Amino acid sequence: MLVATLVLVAVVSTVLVGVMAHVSQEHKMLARTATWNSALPVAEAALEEAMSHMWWVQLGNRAVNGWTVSGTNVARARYLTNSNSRYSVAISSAIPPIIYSTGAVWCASANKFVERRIQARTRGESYFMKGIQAKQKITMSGQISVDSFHSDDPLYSTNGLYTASKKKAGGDVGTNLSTPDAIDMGGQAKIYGKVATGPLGTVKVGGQNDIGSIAHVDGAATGIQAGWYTKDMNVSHPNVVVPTNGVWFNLLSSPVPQLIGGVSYKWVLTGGNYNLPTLSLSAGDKMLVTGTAILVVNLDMSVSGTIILNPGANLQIYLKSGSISLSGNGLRNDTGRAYNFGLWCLPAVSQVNISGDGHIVGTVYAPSAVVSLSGGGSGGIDFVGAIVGNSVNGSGSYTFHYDEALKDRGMRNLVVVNWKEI
Amino acid sequence: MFIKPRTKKTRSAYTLIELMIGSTLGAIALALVLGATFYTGRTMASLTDSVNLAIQSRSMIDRMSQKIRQAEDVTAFQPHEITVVVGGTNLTYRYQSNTKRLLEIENSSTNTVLENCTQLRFELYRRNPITNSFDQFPADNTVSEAKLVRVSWTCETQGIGQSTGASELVSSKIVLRSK
Repeated sequence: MLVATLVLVAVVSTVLVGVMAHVSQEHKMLARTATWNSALPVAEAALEEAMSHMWWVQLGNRAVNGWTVSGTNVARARYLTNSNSRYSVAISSAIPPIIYSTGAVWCASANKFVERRIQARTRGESYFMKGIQAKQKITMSGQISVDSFHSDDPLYSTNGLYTASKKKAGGDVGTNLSTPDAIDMGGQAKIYGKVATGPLGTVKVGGQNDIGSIAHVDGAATGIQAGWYTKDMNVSHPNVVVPTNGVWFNLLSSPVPQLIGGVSYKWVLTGGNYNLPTLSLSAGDKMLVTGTAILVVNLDMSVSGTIILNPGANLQIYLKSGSISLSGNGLRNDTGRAYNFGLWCLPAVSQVNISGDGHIVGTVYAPSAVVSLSGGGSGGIDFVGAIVGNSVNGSGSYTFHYDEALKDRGMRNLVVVNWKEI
Repeated sequence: MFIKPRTKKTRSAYTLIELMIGSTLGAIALALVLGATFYTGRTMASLTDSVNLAIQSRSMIDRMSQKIRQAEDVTAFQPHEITVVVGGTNLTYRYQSNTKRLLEIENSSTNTVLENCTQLRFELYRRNPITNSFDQFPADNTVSEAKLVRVSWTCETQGIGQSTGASELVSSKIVLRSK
């Protein structure tokens, strides 16, 4: 009996030791895995802080708000509130910048910090990555057509200008809206490009509507070409912030006209920053821009006269509230480039109406406004550039040509384009 | 000097009954030892399998999530197979239900990365979140719209004298950060 008891005790003891060793091993492995996994969100938190910091300082000095110069980088390190994790992050001086981020979480079973390191390459992405974008519904009727060209590429433009024979099927139209008929097409509206909606959105097309490649739209087929419609549109359209730095000049609402070359101009902007209570150009009135100018308008913009941009000029108009009415030959952009004229609407701007048969070359960014395009002339060129609106309505015989050069120009958001663990 | 001889009377043997009782107790004790040994052995085997499965599955999900997270695109998809592009190179994960194995194919090199896998499934999701939830809209197998990959599998071992032994269920949603 004694021997049997001893054998039994020995077996049970061996088993217990084995079980405890296994359990201990599994516990350590689980703890290590959990720590290793939790180090990644910490590293990504650092990446988010770096992105926020770059958005905040824009093109200014990055060595502010706790960020310090470290070699050719600016860097920051933090202990998170529970003190069990920390991160360090560096933004390189490259253009566009590269972000290096290290997240570390304390692993008690290993008695050390477990680290993971990531590298994120960024790219400045324009607000105008599609021809027409909206948060809400896009309606197209009449004979409106949307296509694209590239003002920086002679294969797809002539001296930077749109030429019908060199058009591209990049006139993309997209909305975040995720309901049926998010893009509602009627009449003979056609899009040389892709369309995109939210996941539950649909595109309503009639029998004479075409969406797709040039061959598809110009050919006998109708409807949406296979592969030219995606349902994953999810784009952020941030509110416009009025620039404040620099010296500002206050313009009079009813100034004394200036005579240049025998032509009378209501306002002449030679370059710099300008404030104006209301921008009103009646038929026959003219505004001349000869340099790089920013014009901030407090309330309403009504233009049935003409804004003229001389070659080499650049005008960005910020409207704080009210509405915009641009009709007739409201804009004559002699630079020929859409990125040289911009209408930036703050959230209190509710309506943007563009009508007539003018040849408008520019961009409209009005994420809180209803943008309406109507009329259209017989010249085949009514709007060159890009539009962002809360909703967009197009009608008449309007022809819209998205300038794909806008993808690489103008106001930009930095986005991560390549992410890898190093 | 006189020495009294020891008598045979003081050296009596076990009686038959004593021998039978002793044998029975010994057999019971031996049976207990053998039973305990067998039972604990089986428990140990099961525990070892469980730990090995956990280690295998967790290290695999860590490895897979690390690679897919860095992928630039999804180029092919089936519920049992997915191909992503990582650093310009195709990386395929293929589940073989007949061999219960998950294969990792990269640069024409095929490795078995998971064994005893009784079920495995990939799913694709779009980038768009569903309102008031932590879920995303399914991509309906459209690889061009895939932003998230969900993978789930079950690994099981054959127990001693049982139909199934230890099992490990793993499920994870992985965001393609570079897409």
